Amino acid sequence: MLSRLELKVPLIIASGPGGFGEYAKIDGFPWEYVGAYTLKTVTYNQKYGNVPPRMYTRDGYMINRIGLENPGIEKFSSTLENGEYDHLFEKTKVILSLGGDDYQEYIEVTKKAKPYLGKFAAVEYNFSCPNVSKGGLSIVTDMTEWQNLLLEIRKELPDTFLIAKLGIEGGFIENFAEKAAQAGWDGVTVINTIRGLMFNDNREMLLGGLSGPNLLPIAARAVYEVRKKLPDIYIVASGGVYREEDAEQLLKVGADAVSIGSAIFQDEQVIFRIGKHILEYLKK
Amino acid sequence: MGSGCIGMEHSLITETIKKHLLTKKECVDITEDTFLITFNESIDFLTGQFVMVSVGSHGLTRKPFTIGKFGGDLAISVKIIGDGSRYIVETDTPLEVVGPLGNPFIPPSSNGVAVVAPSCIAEGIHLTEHFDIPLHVCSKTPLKREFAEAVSNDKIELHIGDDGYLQLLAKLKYEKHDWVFITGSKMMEKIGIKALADVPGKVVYVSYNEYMGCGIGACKSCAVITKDGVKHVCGDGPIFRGDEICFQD
Repeated sequence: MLSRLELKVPLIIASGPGGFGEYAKIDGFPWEYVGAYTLKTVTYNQKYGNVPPRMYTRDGYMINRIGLENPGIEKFSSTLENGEYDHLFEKTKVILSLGGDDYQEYIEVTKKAKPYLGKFAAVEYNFSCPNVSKGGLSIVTDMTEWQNLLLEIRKELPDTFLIAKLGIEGGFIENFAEKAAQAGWDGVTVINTIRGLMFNDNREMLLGGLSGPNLLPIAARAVYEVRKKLPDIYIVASGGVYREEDAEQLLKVGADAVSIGSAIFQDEQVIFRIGKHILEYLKK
Repeated sequence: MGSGCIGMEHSLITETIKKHLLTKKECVDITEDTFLITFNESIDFLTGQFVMVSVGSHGLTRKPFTIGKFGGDLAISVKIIGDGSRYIVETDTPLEVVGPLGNPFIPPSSNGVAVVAPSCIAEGIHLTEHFDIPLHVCSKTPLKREFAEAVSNDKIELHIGDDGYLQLLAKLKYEKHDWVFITGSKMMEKIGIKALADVPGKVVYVSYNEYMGCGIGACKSCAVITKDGVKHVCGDGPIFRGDEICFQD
C-alpha cells in the first residue's frame, strides 16, 4: 500500500492558475476548503515564458501558452527563505511543483529544492506541460530515460511524497502512471492541458494547452483507466472541474483528491462550493 | 507610465484586494456595440486603474475594465465582443467586481492630451476632468447623437473613422503637448505609438490591453514584451510608455 496525502479537504489548487499564492490577497478567499495549494512550476533556470498572446477563451474551453514563466529555483529559494510564502504555509498545505528542460535539470532542480522540502506536503513534478519546447511533455517521449529519471528522483528524495503530473499525450496515461508507481512514486496528477490551437479576436494564432470545462470527460476517463490499472496509487484528478458534480464524478471513478485549476479565474468561490460538496459526498 | 519592477519579480503583495457588488445606475448607448455603465456605489481608485468584472457562467474569466467617472458616478465603458461583455451590459443583477487593480497613471506634467476609443471613454472622461486636459474620442462609427450631445464640451473633440484618427495623429505631432495618452484597441495604440514615436519631447503612454486570466499577477497570461524584458499588464501596468513596448511583428 502506498502512502496517502492527508488533507483537511481533498481539494487541491492546481499548479499554474494559482501562481505563487497571489489569490491569498483576495478578500474572502475560501481557505477553509483548500486542502493544498500547488505553486506554479519552478524550473532550474529562470523562464521568461512565451511571447504574447498567451491566453484566450471560448465557450467551454480556453487555451494558454504561458510557457512556465517562473523565477528559477535560486530566486524562488531566496523568496522562500525571506519568508514571503509563510502566510501560505500558515493557511494550508503547500505542494511544490518542479520542472526542467532535460534529464539533468530535473535532477539539479531536485537537489536545489531538497533543503526546503520540509516545508512542503508533497512535490509534484511537471512531466506534461505542452507549452515549452524542451522538458515538460517532451521528457516522457523516451520512456527508458524517463523511468531512470523517476528512479533517480525517488533515490534523491526517499521520504518525500512524490507526485508525477501526467498528460494524455505520448502514450496511454495508465502506462505512464504504472511507471511512476514502479519507481516508488506515491501519486499522479491526471491530467494536464492538452495541445491545442485557437485564433483570438485579433486573428492571432495561439498554440498552447487546452483547458476548461470541456476537458472533464477526458480527465474522468484518464482517472478511470489509471485507477483500474493501479488500485493503490494516490490520484489527483485535474481537468475541467468547474461544478460540484464534476468533482463528485471524478471521486466516483477513483480520484483521491480533486484539483481546481482555471475555474478560479471565473470565481475563486468555486473552491467553497466544490470543497463543501466534496465533504458532504465523502460523509455519505 | 513607467513601472516599478519587472514582472518576473514575483514577491507577494500583502494588501487585500477587495470585492464589491455594484448596482447599475445607468447604461448609456455610445455606439452600436459600446455602452457606458454608471454605478450607484463607488470604489476608491486612482486614475488609470482597472477592475475585473465577474460574468458568472457567461465566460471562463472575469473581464478587465479601466475605471473612470461620468457625471460624478463610478463608470466603465464596455464594448460587446462576446457573451461575457454582453452579460455585463444586459444584466440587471448587481455586478461582482474585484479591484481596483494595477498602477495609477502619474503624468510627467499637466501638459498632456488623451485619445480614447469609445470602449475606453469612461477612463478618458475621467482623465480629462482629473488632469484638466483635452480629450479626443476616436470612433470607427458615429457616436449616438444623445451621447455625443451629453459629453460635448470645449475639452472633448470627436473624430470618426480611420481617417479621422490618422488626421488627429498628424495634428498631434505638431501640438505642444509633453505627452499623449492613448487607449483603445491594440491596433489603435500601436498606430498611435508609431505615428508619434519620432516626435522630440513627446511621450506616448498607452493603457495596454492583453487578455487576462486573473488580473492579480498569478497566471502570467497578460505578458507584454518591453525593452526591459517581460512585464505584465496587471502588475506592472496597465499603463506603459509606448517607447518601452516591443511589438511582435
